Amino acid sequence: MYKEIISQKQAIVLMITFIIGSNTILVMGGKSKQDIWIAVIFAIAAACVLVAVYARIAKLFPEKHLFEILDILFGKVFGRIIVLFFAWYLFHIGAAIVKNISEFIRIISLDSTPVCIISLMTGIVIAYAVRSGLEVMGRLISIIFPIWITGTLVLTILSIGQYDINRLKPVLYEGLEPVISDAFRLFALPFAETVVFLCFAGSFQRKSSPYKIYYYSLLVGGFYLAIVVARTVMMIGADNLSMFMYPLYVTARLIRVGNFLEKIELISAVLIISCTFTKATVYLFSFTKGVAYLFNIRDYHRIAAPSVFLASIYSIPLYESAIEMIKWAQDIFPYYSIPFQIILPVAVWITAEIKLRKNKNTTAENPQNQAM
Amino acid sequence: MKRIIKILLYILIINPLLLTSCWNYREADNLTLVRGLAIDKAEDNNYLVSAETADMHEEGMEGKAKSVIIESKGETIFDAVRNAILVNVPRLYLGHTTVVVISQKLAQEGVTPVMDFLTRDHETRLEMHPVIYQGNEAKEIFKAKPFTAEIISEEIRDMLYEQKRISKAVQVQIYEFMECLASEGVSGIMPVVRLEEIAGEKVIRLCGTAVFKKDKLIGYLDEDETKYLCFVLDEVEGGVLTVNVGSKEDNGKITLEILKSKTKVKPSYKEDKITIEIKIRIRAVLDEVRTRIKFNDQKDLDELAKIAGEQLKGHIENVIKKAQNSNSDIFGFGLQVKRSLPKVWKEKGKDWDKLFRELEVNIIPDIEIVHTGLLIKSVEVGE
Amino acid sequence: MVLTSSLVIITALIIIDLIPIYRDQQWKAFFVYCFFLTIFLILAVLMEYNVKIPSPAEPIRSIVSFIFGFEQS
Repeated sequence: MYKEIISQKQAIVLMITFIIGSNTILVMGGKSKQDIWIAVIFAIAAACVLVAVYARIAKLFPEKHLFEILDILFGKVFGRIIVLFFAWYLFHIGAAIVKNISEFIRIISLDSTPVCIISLMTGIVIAYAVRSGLEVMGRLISIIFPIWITGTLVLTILSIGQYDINRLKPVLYEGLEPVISDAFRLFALPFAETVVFLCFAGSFQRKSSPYKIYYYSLLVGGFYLAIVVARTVMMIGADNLSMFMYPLYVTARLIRVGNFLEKIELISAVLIISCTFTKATVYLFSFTKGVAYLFNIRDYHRIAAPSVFLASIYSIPLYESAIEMIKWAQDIFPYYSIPFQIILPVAVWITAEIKLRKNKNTTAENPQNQAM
Repeated sequence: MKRIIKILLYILIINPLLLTSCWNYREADNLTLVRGLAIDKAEDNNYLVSAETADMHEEGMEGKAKSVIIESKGETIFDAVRNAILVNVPRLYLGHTTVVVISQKLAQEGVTPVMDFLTRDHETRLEMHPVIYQGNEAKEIFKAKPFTAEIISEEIRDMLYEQKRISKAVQVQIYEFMECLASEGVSGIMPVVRLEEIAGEKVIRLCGTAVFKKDKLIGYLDEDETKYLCFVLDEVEGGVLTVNVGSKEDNGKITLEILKSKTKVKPSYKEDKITIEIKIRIRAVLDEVRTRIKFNDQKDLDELAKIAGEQLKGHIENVIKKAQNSNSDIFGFGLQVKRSLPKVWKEKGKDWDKLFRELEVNIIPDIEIVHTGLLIKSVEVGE
Repeated sequence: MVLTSSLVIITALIIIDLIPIYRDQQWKAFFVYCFFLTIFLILAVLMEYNVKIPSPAEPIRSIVSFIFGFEQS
């Protein structure tokens, strides 16, 4: 079968967009108020450690994706049980992100359109992307990304007059505790989610380094997020930040240049939706791959469409309202993902190191024979 | 052939999905564009909302927008906005609202319901200007005669922009007011309008600042007091500074035009006492001299700057006293303390109300007169 | 509304995807495909008749609160 390859650059860009993704909708910073940017930096620091594990796994098994690795390490039956759980996680979070998008669209503009239409429409786009495969996604994102960056830069520069750096003060007023609590949520929500990329780490270009991909995108995406939240606090203040449902969208509404350039929040809405859409695509792509692996289907494109549509229709009853969705993402999600984001990769890594070392010892005894 | 049929089939299937269009699809001429809202409280605890709308059905190329006032009543503000459909056919669209006039009576009871509606609704925008109407009913404001713009709300907004330049009005946007409401150590302010009769016509006049405590209106500052408030808030962009010189009988006055003003508020904590130091640096131009005293060399100018500084200090102290008496920290001193002395605030922030009343404020004005205009000396009158 | 749009999507999917899969005789993919589409259809029918579909959010919330022992508001 034809093997998909994406270049290092595309992988980095995809991962940056993924990291920024739904954090443009859900700003996690209820507790730390004006210190939220410090929380982001703490979260990056913590993620640096964990990402080393992810990158190491990708390095140890080149051209293999997570499901195959699980099979090699834990055997056919047990491996598949883990894959089943992991696929459920991917499906669930993928559906939750579709819900994020559809709630966002519903609240900001289409308030009397039935939700099912919005989520199924989103489903069509994602299904098309997943069905076209990873390479198309990689190329698409490398086209969108420059536009995306320019858009954010323009928004940031246009709003520069409305910044008040005093809003970031006092630094660490409530002490470190709320900052660390928020850092934990931020660690789980965008940064540790990059575990999903292990599902297609096998498609990274042979000569590219997983370390480079992971760290580069972690730092760029992370600092981008820190700047964005700091910008939001500087514009509307920490109290407003925790009060509004979509603070980033709100700040774009406030931009005003002279008397002629105003009401440009639609740019921001398009950026937010496209970014979150990328994230949903990555999740559902991995889910499709997991399902294809479980049922031994060689060509995952074939079953892409129904799996995506299943997720998009299941997103409707997932949460009753946007408030419940945001609360769930803030309070429950970080704990819910611990097994998938931390325990599973660390277990894989340790088993892999032990097994590979054993293999080396056995092969080291008669390497010449094999080489001959 | 087969291929064409396939493509046609796709189109047939996709079309009904895409051609549904938005559920809440609206044509622009089926909407009533609201430019300003006036919110009153009626006697029976209902809200009375008057919307000033731009009538776009005007014919011809000139197309001057005419303003039409729609009044409606409801149990809540949004109920009232939607009840407007009972009076006027198209529904009100709030996306272009620029000014929200709140009646004095409603503001005295608390503005939280108004603020909640204005920020929660997805059509309204956060950069609207809330304004307090000093008078009986806010809807009266739309009966005024506008001077420059055709629409009164636009006129009020333009007046706010213009008056900002002479620092006699504060310009507040909804989100800034919300921030003041939410954070501790600062009280909200809003500009005030009222109607005045000039040559038999009712015209709008901006007259100072409304002072809030929490979400309730408790008092007013007049235009001059607003100017000194602006000095403390570092919002001065221009304007004039009149200085009394000479003896009382002389009634000599000198006018300085402010080119640039920069205020730094610095709280300090010494011996269990919080003091606020306000440094005001002003660059000004000598613009008008109405006195016999001559100002001919640099020494005189320095002297004048000093006198101006002293008088500015006195005026600002009066405004601060006034705020302290009504116990409303409109200057945000509490917030400044919290920002630069977080430890002190943690200890004392709880009884800031009490502390603010006897807060010691040092004002250090520093006025520099850059030039004296086109004249070197004062106008000479032959003896 | 849900049912109508779902039926349109299902018809489209059958024409675009399922028929080629059937023709290529990829039976595993075919069955998985049919299985997913059936669930999709069932969900759509349930939603059309306003049956409350259980959300995983609540059980996960109670499991997490049980394990980490914090009170949920």
